[in-house]
Amino acid sequence: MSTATMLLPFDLPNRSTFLVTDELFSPADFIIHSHVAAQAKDRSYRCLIVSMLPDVSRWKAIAAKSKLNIAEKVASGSITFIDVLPLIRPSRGEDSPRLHDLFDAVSSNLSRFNSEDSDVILDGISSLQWMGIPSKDVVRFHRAVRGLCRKFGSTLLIRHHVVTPTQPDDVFRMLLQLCTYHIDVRPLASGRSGAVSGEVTLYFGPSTRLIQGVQGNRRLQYRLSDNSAVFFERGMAGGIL
Amino acid sequence: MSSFKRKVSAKQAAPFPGTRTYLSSTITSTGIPSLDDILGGGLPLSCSSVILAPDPHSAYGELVQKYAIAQGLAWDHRVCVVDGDPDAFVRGCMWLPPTYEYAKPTSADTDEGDDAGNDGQDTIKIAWRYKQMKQFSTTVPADVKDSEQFCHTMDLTHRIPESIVAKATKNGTLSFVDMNTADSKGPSTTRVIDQLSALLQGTPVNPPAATTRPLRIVIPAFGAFQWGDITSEDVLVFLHSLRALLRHYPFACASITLSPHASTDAWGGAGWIQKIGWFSDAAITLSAFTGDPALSAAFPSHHGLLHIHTLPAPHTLLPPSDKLSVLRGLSPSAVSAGGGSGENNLAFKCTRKRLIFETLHLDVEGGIGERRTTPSTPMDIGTHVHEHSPNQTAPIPSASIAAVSVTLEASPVPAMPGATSPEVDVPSVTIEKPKKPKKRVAFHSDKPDLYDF
Repeated sequence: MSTATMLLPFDLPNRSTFLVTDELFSPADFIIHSHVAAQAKDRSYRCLIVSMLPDVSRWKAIAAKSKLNIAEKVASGSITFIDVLPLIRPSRGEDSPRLHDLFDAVSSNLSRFNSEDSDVILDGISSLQWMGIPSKDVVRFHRAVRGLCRKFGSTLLIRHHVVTPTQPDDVFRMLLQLCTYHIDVRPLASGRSGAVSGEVTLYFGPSTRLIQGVQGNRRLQYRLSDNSAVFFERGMAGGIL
Repeated sequence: MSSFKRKVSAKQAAPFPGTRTYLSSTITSTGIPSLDDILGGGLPLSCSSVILAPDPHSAYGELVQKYAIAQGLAWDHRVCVVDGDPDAFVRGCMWLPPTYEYAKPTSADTDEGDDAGNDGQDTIKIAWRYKQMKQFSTTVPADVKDSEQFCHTMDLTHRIPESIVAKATKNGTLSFVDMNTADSKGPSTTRVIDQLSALLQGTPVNPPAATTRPLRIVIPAFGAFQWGDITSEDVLVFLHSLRALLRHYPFACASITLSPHASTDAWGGAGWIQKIGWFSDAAITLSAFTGDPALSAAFPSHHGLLHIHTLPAPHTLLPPSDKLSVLRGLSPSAVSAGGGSGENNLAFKCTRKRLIFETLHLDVEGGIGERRTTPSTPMDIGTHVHEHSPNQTAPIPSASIAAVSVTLEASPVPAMPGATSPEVDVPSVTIEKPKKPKKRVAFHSDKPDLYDF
């Protein structure tokens, strides 16, 4: 039985696979931060954040406004950060880096959680393909982590950076097939604005089971502040009306 | 317990001269006040900035790095330069004028060309309700306050003294990573990261890391031939590793200029600039007009366009620049005013004394001081014959021709006896205005020292 989760701005069921795509002009940091801040108030919540650059000081500063003490959560083991770079360095005798060690780290942390309410966040891991790791390995890693999350009943949130919006790459196509819900964060086509930071659109993935109350293809606009985001319908920004 | 809370300003006392604090970030100046404004106050420590300068005929990207070096040395920050010939690069930096005093406007603050244009404009009488409006400005002045020592105003007409370089090198303030003399084993990017890591590890850190003397890592031409045959993957791994280092040692920041060939999508493939943006905290492109004469003609008062890809946000979701930058025009005050919800177009120009980033505006059509539209060509109506006219062979009656008389008021010409009527059929009057000679600058290839004005 799936329960509702607070994946802002949409109220979506947990234990699903979410794909969050963003672009350089509209980073989806706010979705991940607001999701963790909302969930971490529950004492039983466990979260594993696998990031290319786990910037803990930034997490602390942003979460402090939401009255969330990240340092305390990290110390208690509720939130765990995994730095990707040291785990993918090629060992002696190997030419190319491998993702086995990274997968083992994810697997061991997830089995240690022993909680029904746990999340795994792969924050921009797909950009490993830009650093010379074959896209086939990146795809296999994401698929393997998804299998782990299904085994442990965890929610998987994958963040993928889109650099060529008009030409989707192979990794993006594969991730789209894995996900239950696709949240696309885009900048305004008209350029940057002080009143509207961008648009968030919810799409159903191939494995979506239609649930009453969840409306697909829903598009909202948002405006960023220092530590959060404000969502509103299109054309309802302060500078417009 | 009282419910009242003391309102604390976001700006706190700077822990080290040449830095300021905003929202728990320690910010250093790039040396260019207008670029500081675009970055949201300056470049925060623990962050990296990448300047893309795709034009191979100019060196504006390197000029920005020279500003960063000079600013660091002027504030006694530690500076590490990574280049093929770092010593010569530092000796080519600009410096402060001899009569410079902090918090006093210098001759470099005001451009010589701007001064000439403003003469007499202050005395123009305009409607009284507009008197309270500020004078229109396309850039921001240097933010110099006695209480907050942040940015020295450098002057491009002055070069850094040898004594400053020698002293900084001797006491360890200035250090080099020479790409030519570096060990040739392994990729150059890995070697540089190892050397920078050793430098950062060897830095004595005071108990609060923020009070440690800042270290500026400056790389003027990343990817140039001294770096060897590196690939786009090597560049991204280097940028990512450097960023991870800076996060680990939050008393340092890095300013990098990519070499021109590596600053376009043609080198790194589709989405290359976006990838660089994801692997750095700040990424901007300086698109100089040098290679495009059409753009130079379209924007004669600027030397290039500035494109922003990403901006530093070390402790917030929203980059501070969106709130603080005057030049970008995205601040809440600009939005509430009704006209500033969109981002301004930005450009840069390099005058004799300084590099300036400013808002880009289209010129007034017709110009203020000179005529921009082409003058109408004089029409010689008298010689014009309608060949398609059906009556062209028929004699034209004299009454059907408009009679035009030309008389001069000052000295009427008396009619000569026996002369024909002063009436002319169709006069052609062309009055030529005296043209101002245009200023021209020519360069003789055989005499490189002479300029012909």
